[in-house]
Amino acid sequence: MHVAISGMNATDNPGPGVPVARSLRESGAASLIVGLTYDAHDPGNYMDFMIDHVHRMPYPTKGWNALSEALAHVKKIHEIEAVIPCLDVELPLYIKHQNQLSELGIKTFLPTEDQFSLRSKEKLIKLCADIAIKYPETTLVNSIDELQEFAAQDPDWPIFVKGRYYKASAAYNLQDAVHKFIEISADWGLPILLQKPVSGIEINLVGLGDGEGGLCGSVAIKKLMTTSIGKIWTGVTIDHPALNELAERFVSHTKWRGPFELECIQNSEDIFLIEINPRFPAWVYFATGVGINLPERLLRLMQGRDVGRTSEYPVGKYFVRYTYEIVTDISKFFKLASSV
Amino acid sequence: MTHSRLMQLATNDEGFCFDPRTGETYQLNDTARLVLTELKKGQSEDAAARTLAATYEIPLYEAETDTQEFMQMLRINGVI
Repeated sequence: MHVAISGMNATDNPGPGVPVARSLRESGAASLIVGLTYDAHDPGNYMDFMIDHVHRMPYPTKGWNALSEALAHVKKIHEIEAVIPCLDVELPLYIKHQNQLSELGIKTFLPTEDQFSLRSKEKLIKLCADIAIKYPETTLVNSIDELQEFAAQDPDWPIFVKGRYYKASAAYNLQDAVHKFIEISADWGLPILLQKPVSGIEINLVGLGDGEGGLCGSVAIKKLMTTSIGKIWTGVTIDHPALNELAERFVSHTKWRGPFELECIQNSEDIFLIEINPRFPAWVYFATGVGINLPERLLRLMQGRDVGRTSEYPVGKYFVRYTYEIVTDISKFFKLASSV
Repeated sequence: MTHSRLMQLATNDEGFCFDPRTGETYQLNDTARLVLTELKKGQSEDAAARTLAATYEIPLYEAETDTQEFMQMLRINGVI
């Protein structure tokens, strides 16, 4: 199968594209991999041992017409049969227009718009109640006046100030919170969520929903070491029955279609669901490395083929990222930088 | 008393201890490792303290205190 994958930014803030490509390459599920990049600097663009071809794409802010034209062009050249969008910022466009992609002959396996919206942070409160999982104490505010009213109740600082879909930052006082409210709402709109921090151990799970309420595999991990921006550097597989059950309940309740990541905090008594990411995380190769190749299963779902459901993997497997250098010709950079 | 969580802890000869549910890792000293090994065999805390006292030739009350402190640390760390 010829597959296009975005998220070539294997940087210190890594996108999932390269590990997804690696998973497909190692399994032999993709006979040709085309990297879709937004930036000529993305390291994945130069990994010709893993990515066969690279195309620079118009930014999602250019809208669907520009994106579909670019995808049609990539299809014409490389006969791609499927696309795996891996980046938060492009997902709404791909999700909204998945039927048009299908008409173009490009398969996807994405959540519906309704499913996507369920995990927006303001709706996550209700979803958590529906699937019987705790969510940190959260207040929604739509204006700085409401933020000031919240602060007048003398909350325990710090408070997490969160955008409805993405971005979160700790605020240590009202002035700090106002600054972050303005910054985050400018990018992601309103409402803004004010969330009480939960202490405990951060645990994560990557999974794949079949769109009919079934879970096509999952792997749970704990991040042992993270970078200054919270990205995993080392981690370990864990066996957490309650987290596995949560994944089952989430998929069953929402009939989730496609990959997802659950970000949770475990304290001495409870698990709190902090966030649901509607895509593979950048650490997805960890799951592949322990025998649960979710990108391969995703392709099988796209093709309507039988897909493995097992989630049996060894516990205590250790994940380590490392840095690596590629020396290539500047002409490759120029070619990408001058395209689109 | 048998704690099912405690039985799942993975340990090695160097005192490295891994909790497969949470991914937390701990470094055990020799006495803690001995107490944990006894408990994982299904021994009671009292029996583990007696083994500790006999192995290190220390008074039983001291071994009991050490064992209780170790159990308390397991509780504080959410292991049991």
